[in-house]
Amino acid sequence: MKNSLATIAVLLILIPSAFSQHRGNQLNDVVKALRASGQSEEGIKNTVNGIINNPNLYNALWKNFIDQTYRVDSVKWELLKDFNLQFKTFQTTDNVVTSLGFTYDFNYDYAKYTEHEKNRISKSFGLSAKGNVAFKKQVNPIDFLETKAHYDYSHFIGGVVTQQDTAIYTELNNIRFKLAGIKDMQSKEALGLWEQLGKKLVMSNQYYYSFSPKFALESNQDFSKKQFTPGISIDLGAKAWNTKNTLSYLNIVDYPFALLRYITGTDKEFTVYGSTLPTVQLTFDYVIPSSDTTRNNLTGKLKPYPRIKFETGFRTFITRITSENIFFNANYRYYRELNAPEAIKRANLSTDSYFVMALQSTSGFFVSYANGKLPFDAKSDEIYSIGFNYKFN
Amino acid sequence: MADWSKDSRACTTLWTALYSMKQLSTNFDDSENLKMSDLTFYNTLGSAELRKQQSTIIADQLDNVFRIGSGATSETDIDRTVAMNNMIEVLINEEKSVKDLAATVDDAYNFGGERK
Repeated sequence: MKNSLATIAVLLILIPSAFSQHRGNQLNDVVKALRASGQSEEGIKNTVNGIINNPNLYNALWKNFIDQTYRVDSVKWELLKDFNLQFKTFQTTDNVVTSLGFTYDFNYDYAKYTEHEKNRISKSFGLSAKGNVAFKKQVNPIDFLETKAHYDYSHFIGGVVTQQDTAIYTELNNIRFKLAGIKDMQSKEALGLWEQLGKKLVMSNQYYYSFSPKFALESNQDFSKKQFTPGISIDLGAKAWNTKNTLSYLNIVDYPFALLRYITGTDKEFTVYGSTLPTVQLTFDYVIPSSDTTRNNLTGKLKPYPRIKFETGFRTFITRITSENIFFNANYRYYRELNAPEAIKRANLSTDSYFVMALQSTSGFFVSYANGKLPFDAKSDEIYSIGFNYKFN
Repeated sequence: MADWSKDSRACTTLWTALYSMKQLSTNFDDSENLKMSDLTFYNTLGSAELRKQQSTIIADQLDNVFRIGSGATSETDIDRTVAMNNMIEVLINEEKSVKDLAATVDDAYNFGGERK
């Protein structure tokens, strides 16, 4: 009952009345059709519950809401385009009960980019928020919300070797024009032209690093546990745009996928992509617990403590089957409390890690596996999923 | 913005740049309607913040390819901040297409001597 009320409340909040009316009429039509077909009241109730507990319904409504509001006043609703909301069904491994809920992920920043003789710099100030909310909180497998304000100072170095001979620009344009007219990118003619292009437009390694002081609030979904985490993040990234470069060969996580690309004929040669080198974020936090009964019971009082966090992400291309691109995605997060009290260590609360990986196709098919826990999660969960992410275009 | 055409240098320069950067593997015609989420950098499991970081790296490299490697110049009243922010706005949006990105690139850069 609570679940139904929650989902209806979300509907009322999110959906413009006209559209809600439209959906309501559709639902009434479904009920009428079921009654006409002789369905029992219990059967009709189950069918309607199935509809209103289906996250795809809310994803479609949310997309429609965004499209309509953005069309009406794109300036007023400017921030909405940075707000990613996805409804999902949550279930933990040791619980047969499922719950409708949503994942949100928002990032907005104002950035200024300048160029210097040997590097490029960006300075930005931003706000971000992300988390999972289940309408039945006990079945939220990743009960962790993070909201933060941050300033970023970033450097970019390298990328392309400076071209001095302007006649080469004309040659490059001619090569591009010829390539654009070829259908088969693995044909001898295309491969020859790509080689010529690569000799005239020489890509070098690109390096990126960033320092980001930040202030964040971390909590579980009902805010019964929360903590403030001022700190500084260091982001490191490198791209070896030239696949013949040594840095490309150091991208060992891409080796299995390079083999798959070679076996499936996607690449004519065994080619490791230096452009998919994982990016890394290292964060030093000073955690100030505000309310956390578990920690309070274990240590006697809530004292601030230092913590390190490590996060990395990886995505690479596997193959193309007819019009479907297949990608491998992965993300890993690790938290470690420094000099944690013995009671915290014994309770396995001094470190947390969370790993998720997925195979995805262009049309939305996915197979994913997740394992681990984030701060505030009571236990580690293992989640397998297979499904289809509908795109409501 | 011109249509997705091999006569548009914004389109051909963007497409060859993304192909060389291993962001797509399709021919020119098939690349027009690819979404940003079909490009290799767009990690759907990472946070919006990490995707922003990835998009910024891609936009920086595209800017390098256009201006340093291919001799493009910035359009009047377009500085690096405007060009980068406009490209990043498209790159972080999974619904936007390569054609949309080409339109943004065409508005920000002058590739000279277009075949019209």
